[in-house]
Amino acid sequence: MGKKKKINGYLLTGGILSALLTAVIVTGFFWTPYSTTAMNAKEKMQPPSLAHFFGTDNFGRDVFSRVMQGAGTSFLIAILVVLIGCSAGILIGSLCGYFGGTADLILMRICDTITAFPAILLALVIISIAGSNVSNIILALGILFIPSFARVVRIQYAGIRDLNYIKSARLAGVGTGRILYSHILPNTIPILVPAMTIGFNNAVLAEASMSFLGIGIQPPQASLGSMLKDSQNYLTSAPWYALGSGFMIVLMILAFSLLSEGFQQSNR
Amino acid sequence: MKNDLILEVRHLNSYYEKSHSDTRLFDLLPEEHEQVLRDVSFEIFHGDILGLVGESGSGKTTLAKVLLGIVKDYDGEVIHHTAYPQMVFQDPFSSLNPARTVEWILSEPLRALARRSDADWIPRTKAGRHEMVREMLRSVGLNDEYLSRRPGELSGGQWQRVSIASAVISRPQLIIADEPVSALDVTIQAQILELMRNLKEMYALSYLFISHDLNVVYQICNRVMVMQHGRVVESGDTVQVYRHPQHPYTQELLRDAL
Repeated sequence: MGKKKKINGYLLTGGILSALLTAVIVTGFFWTPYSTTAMNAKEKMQPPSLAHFFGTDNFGRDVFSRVMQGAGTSFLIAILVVLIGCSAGILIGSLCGYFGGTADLILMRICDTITAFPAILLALVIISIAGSNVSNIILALGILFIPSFARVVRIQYAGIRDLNYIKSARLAGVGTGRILYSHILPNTIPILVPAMTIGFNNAVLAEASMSFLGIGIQPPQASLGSMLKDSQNYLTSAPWYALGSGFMIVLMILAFSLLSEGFQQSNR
Repeated sequence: MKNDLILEVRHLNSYYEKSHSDTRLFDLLPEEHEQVLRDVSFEIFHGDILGLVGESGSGKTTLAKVLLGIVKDYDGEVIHHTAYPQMVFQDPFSSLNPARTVEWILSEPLRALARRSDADWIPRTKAGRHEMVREMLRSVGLNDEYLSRRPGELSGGQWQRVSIASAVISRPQLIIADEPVSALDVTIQAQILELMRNLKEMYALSYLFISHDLNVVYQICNRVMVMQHGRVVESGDTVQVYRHPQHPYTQELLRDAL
């Protein structure tokens, strides 16, 4: 705040990686070197070359183009999942933490119950009831991500509500809604930002795992998880197929973890 | 001089409830009540600086909380003849929002007032608030440079100056100051006491000044009230009480203070 911060290695590396990644993903929305769906029997299972950076798959599609598009899909899904989880988590956590009482107890026990099950399993249940499409995946994961945010936010609110500056605000006649979201919320940002990056990483992994299991993004749309699943069968004959999509998942999570760690260190 | 009355308290009893309901879903244990204030009566007149002394646990802070409406478990009468009082807290470091700038912190009471009251002096534009905040900041001895600072960038004394400013800016007639200087060094203490005296003249304030430090109370208060175990054991003109303490507890406190 005001003082000049020393740039730390985490922030720098994470920043560069994220910038690169974002550039690749944003480009992927508008343009890919090759079509992501057009098959080409002549170019099947080509190893990486200058024409195909990550090689081609069993249908002759360019793996790099599909990774670009798949990363974009995973990225968008993860962002939306975090947004849903985070905004609902802030709403529930702030009310529970600030008011406490029986409603708080009940809501927190519900959160405990949700957390007690593996997220993928619950998502599977929701998807099999509601049907497998992108919006259901986002919604299911979003709901499952609420408890982690609600818990973090609640603890912050419960600690801050008794501080003198909140008492002063109440004495000055500031309304409860304003106290909740204008006075207390800014003070939870240092905790909320790392929670969001961790949530983002978990969402990328969850989406990839679901697509890997075949309950996520459906073919022919590219997804990092489903590409990884398809590539399993060709692991010995065409290892680049698996490496391309695996590399992108690792890169995505690494970039944002480093960025988050960098933020935390520079806030200390 | 009835119209000079700012606050009247008559036969006030207050209880501290040892609640279990925060930790248990079903509250099986009977509630325990402990009486904190016993038959407290006093009044504050316009221009008073009333000192409230007593050791910790004597009920000073509870009394403040009852007056502010934070503690609602009491019987007896609390009559505010003016708008609600504002508070200056002991610990300056938790009394300002660390995520906001000084300007935002000082504007907030004005924004809240503008919604609730239609008094003429309340600025209703951003520019009007900015001007009033600058003026307020100057009267607590801080220049415009501090408008954009956050509490983390202030020293202890500056911190308490901003806290006092945020209490005074909504123009209360009474300010309850709970140990406002006891967290500060002696030199800073003197400056803050001087500031409070000046503000009293500038903004026609009265104070209820809570302190365990009898020397500080002697410097600033015109009247004093001594509390022990929730009871007011002695009260009167400060000089009078300090020269001729009647109650053994007051005598003991004064002996310890010297």
